[in-house]
Amino acid sequence: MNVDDALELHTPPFVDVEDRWREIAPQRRPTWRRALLAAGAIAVVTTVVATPALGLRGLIANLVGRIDLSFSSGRAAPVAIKRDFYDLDLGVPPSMAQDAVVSQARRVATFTVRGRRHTLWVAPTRRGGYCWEISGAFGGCRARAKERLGRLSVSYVNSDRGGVDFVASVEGDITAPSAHSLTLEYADGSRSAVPFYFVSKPIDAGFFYAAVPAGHDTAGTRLAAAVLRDSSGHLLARTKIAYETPAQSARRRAQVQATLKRLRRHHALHRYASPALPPPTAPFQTGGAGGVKVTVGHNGVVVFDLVDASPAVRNLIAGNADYDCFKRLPYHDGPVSLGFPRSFARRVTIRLQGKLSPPFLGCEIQGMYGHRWPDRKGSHSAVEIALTPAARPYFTNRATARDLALFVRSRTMHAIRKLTGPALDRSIRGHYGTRILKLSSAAATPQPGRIGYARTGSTTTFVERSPTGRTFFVRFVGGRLAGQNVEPYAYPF
Amino acid sequence: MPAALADVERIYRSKLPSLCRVAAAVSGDREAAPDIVQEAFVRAVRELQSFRGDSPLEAWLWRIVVNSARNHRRSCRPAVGLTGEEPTPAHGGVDGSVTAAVAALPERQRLALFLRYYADLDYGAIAEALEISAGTVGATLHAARTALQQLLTKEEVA
Repeated sequence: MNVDDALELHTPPFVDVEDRWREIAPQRRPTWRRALLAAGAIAVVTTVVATPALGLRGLIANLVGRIDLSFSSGRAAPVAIKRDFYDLDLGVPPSMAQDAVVSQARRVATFTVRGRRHTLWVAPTRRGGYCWEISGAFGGCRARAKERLGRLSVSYVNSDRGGVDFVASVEGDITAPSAHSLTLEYADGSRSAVPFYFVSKPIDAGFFYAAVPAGHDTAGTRLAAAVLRDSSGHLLARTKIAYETPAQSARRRAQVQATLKRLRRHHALHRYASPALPPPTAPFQTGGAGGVKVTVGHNGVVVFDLVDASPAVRNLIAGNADYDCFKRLPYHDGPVSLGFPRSFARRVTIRLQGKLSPPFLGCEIQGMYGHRWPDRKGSHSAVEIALTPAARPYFTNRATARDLALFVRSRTMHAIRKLTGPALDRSIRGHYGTRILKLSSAAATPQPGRIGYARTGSTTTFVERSPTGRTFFVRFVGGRLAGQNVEPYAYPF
Repeated sequence: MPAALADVERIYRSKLPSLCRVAAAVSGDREAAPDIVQEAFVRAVRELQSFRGDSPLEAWLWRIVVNSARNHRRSCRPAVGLTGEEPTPAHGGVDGSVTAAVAALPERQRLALFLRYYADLDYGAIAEALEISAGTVGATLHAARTALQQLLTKEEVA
């Protein structure tokens, strides 16, 4: 990593900072009347902003429909949410990027739907739009200012009961600044109000997530439309809910099954030919392993030269394989990898753009064979090419994490890990002999390359140490996964 | 409105994102950066009478912002734990190795880097803001870049 990249990563730029000059410069002394009005307004705003989400605020929202929220008063989003917004653009061509200003992602409100609390996170985009995410629900982006058209967007998932389609909950965003009320209209002529939050600039949009009240789950009572009006009652937008007839529903399900079958067949037999790409441009990154040479161009074009690939490598990547490169990115604990499936050829090419563009820490080819424990390549990828020194410990640690994850998620272990006490010891010894070591405690570590385990009560911890010194663990309580640190290298489930 | 106050307003409005970025980098607290800038400008406006005009107004304002951010960093630094490890600054989502490498630089080098990269100040303005000579700025920036590159390379090898 060079100094410029490091400094960009250290403190990303601020975008759309709120101008608070009025609070800095000496202001004209307000008249008594103006001061009283201002105090009243501040009291109301403070109440709405400062009360716990969906406590008094939710009550007010139910009363008035629209609640205005200050974007700048929102709490900073945690890294996991920032990562979600950041990852929207991974592997996406620049022209299709959402460009969320991740550092500005904020928690602005919560919705309670059927007793579950859902948090609303928002982030502005660099092109005058916004992205949002509702935990445990949906989200989306209107990345450009011109995408703010349409005024009301409603998302819903059709549920099915006794062959009748109905909507159980609605979620969406509102781009009409004058929006005042949102109403759900039902097939039986009844209505219900949906409160929504309108978040100030730079978001300048409203958001809602609500359950459809009980009793609206038949053809005669189900949700028919969502209607948005201004404070004068003028119609701003009306979204009709589309339902399928039973015949349409059956036809769609059959189409989905046929498509899935075709895709499975396609994936097994399809040849993923390398597309015609321009040659890599300087400055280059080059490296090689197992007879495979890789050239990474500044333009994101990566060429894998397989002409001299060793017989062992050819055996592992014959047919289709994944060709990837990886680098460190903000908001991610470890390097992030991205690539494409390609069929074996003398020269295989891929292009990586946007946030995942060169320079890379390394590149690799991962065989598509089924991985079982113990893996035939020691949980390493078929070809691992370090383009920088940092790639080597990454490959080593990932292999250890993969080995442990493959072991604990194997079919045999699914049964064994539910056992406790001496029965667990006997079962592990019976299946694996001395390959799996019993440890004196969960803090003890076996030598690199060996998996150990420690048990206390119903808790069993499996441990493996990488040759780099890093220790990975997966812990089960009563047979259920209770903790692990193998992600993001591998997944233990 | 006195001419100087209008100048402060112009600098505030034109440089606000850069001011916040430098405040975040120096304080290690991105969320507090807008408030740090706010407080610094409130202080600057209050003390505008004491500005003697023997240095550019913008450099004087940068000095106040940098000092406010340094004070914030000192006041928010938690007590050192029993392990003796220095707490890592809370930059949003920053690669730990980058944070550690930047934190390992001497303070003057770090501040010069921030003002050069995040505020795009020239050597003269950095010199005024940090109260050092313009010649020292060049040498400090060169030393900072070299040291940071070495630290980053070392981190990748480790």
